[in-house]
Amino acid sequence: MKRKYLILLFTVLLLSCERNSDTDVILFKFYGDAYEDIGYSISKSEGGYFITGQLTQVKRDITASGTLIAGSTKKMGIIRTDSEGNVIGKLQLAGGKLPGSGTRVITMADGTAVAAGFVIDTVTSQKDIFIVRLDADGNISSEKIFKSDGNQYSTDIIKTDEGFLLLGTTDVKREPVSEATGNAAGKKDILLLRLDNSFGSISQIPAVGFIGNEEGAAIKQELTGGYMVVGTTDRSDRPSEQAGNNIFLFRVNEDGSTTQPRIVGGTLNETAADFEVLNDGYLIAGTIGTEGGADQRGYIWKIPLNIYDAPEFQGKIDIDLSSDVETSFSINAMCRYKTNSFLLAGQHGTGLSSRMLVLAVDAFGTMMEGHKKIAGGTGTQEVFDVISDEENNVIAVGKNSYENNSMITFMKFRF
Amino acid sequence: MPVSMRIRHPFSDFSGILLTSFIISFSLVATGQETSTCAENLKNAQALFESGQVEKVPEMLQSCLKSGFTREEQLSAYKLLIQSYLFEDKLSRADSTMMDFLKKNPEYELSPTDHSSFVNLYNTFRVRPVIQLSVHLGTNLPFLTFIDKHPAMGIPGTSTYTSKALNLYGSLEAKYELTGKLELNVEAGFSQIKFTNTEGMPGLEDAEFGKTTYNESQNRIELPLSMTYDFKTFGRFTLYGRLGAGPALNLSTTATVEHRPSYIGGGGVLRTGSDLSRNDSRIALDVFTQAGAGIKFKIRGGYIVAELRTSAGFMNQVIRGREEAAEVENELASFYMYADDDFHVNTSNFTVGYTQIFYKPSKRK
Repeated sequence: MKRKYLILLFTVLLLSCERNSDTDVILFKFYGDAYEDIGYSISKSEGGYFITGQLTQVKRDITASGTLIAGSTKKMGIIRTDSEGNVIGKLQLAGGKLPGSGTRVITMADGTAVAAGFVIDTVTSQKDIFIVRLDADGNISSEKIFKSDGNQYSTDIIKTDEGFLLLGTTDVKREPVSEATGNAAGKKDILLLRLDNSFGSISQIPAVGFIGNEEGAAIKQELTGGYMVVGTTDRSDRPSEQAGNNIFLFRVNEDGSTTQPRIVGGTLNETAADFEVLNDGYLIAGTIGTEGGADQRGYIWKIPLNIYDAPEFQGKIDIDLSSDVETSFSINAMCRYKTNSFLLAGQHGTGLSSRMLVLAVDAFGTMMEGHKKIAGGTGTQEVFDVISDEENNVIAVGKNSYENNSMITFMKFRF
Repeated sequence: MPVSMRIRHPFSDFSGILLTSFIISFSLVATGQETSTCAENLKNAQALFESGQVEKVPEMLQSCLKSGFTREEQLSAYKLLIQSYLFEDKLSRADSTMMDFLKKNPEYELSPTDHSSFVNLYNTFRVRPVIQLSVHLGTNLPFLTFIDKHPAMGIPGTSTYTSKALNLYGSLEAKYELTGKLELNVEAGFSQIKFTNTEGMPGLEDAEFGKTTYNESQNRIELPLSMTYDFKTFGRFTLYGRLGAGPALNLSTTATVEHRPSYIGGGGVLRTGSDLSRNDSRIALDVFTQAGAGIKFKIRGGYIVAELRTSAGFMNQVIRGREEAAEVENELASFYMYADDDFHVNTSNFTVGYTQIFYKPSKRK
């Protein structure tokens, strides 16, 4: 009898101990202050992550009626976290007194990191490319501003054998200006900087682009040497054939010369977000439709190794597998996931109902069942970068906004 | 303009009062007469007993035993009736009357003036409490332990847990006497648990940019099995202690949250919203141990009780990552920048109550 009661008690205890597995748990962390803080890039590091983006430094005045915000400056922010997103040290502001923002952070083999972005010259009010080196603890060890005419800012940076290859944008006028050559002042071209390990300039590669705006989204090393750049070109000047934005890609040789420019797309207003280099080509993720509009959809292109061949496949990503209703979403980032699949991240919905979106697709751009995460609450949320690790954790960074305040948002989970 | 007037009859109020007074007076007189008749019957029955006409006593008392006697008169009447049956050697009648007497007066204690025949018969009976039923009502003071912080902010800020003393606690308890001093108790209690966590949100350069205040309210049923032991009795007071354990079933958990900026202007706005259900983020069943002490004051048929208890929960209350809870957890994180800490729920409660003792008299074998 006593044994029966013990078994009953044990059963009750067992049933009451509900599973508290962390596999489905979304871990959120927020960083920032009053006003607008945005996370644009995340990189895995020893025992945690580096994050860069925009941190707004606020000036406080303590008065009899309370603390007043007397002013603010948006700056490049750098955050070193542990694996749970807890800040190691403190939130760091780079660029001294200059306004700016971080756009990409990469981790070196020795555990240090390099963050790229821009600062704004307070005299000319124009942007200059800005690079920061960080030690393994996230402390700023050196900074370099690339002073130049016009607005120049960095969108990506990769490590190369000789140092770094920085992908940026410039709006300096380039002659001769024609439909297929040059650039009018104020219009953006894609800029590449070859840098040595001390951020010294090896060469500035001539800007690439057409008469409209071009912006590089990402640069990646090819499997057979050289580099591939994918970005967006504004072909609003050719409304009947290309209407609005198209995908723009070109190759960069080891010596820094650029070759094989190619425009992909038509009248869908295509914008590139990111891409991955495959054995047999390139998988490009982006968005079609009106920016911020209800017709926005994530889109994927498989471009063969011969980039002048027609895409192997392309199409809208179906994230509403069990429904005929298509929801609006945009893609801002892409990374590899597990062995032969990819994570795409961006924003689900538009306006006040927009949420953070991360989904996984297979090599054909088809969403994997059960691999869609929409997260967020009142306010608006968006992912700007995503990475995954060997334990299949998904780590995303972006922003969480409500009224005039937004916070850098770190999100970690497993599907 | 025509005016409609209702003229009240001058005697209408007066007649009502008169009628009411008559009814009340009639009932008082009737009751008074009955009481006075039964009191006289008791006097007459005593006189008959003393004159040796014991066979007439039952007839004289029977009707008034059902109703009409005061408590003291009823005691005397039962004793007289029992003694009459004993004198008449009607032992089974005496037994059944003694049984009736003890059912109505289970806590009767013999007095020196009781007749020896009554005392002898009384001693052939035993009166034991079968069960005691208690009602407790009071207040809970919840407190949390084993708090494992999981702040939503990347830089943890201040976090202060507080709770208010006024939380409803009420229970029904059945007590079984194991020995003279030891009782086994089964209880079902309703417990309200409210606590607040106020978290400071650190911004840049050690400044705090806001505070999130999270208020949680749990309603649960507690089902402890406990033992109480009477340590000391002085006069009508008894001090006792309690040890027990049992499950607690969570009926509902709700939360109200607000995020208040620590600055004026600059886009900082108060963030509030509707109550959030936390049922999907809390365990449904906890197990707790209980220790307490109290004092009980003996009154006729039971006790007035005051007790102080502490219950310690065994389990972490928080479940994370349930699909059903995702929406609320996302709202807590995104809008209020708040995430649950792991914690155990414990309570201290103070109650007052009443215990009714149910006796069962029986003939000794």
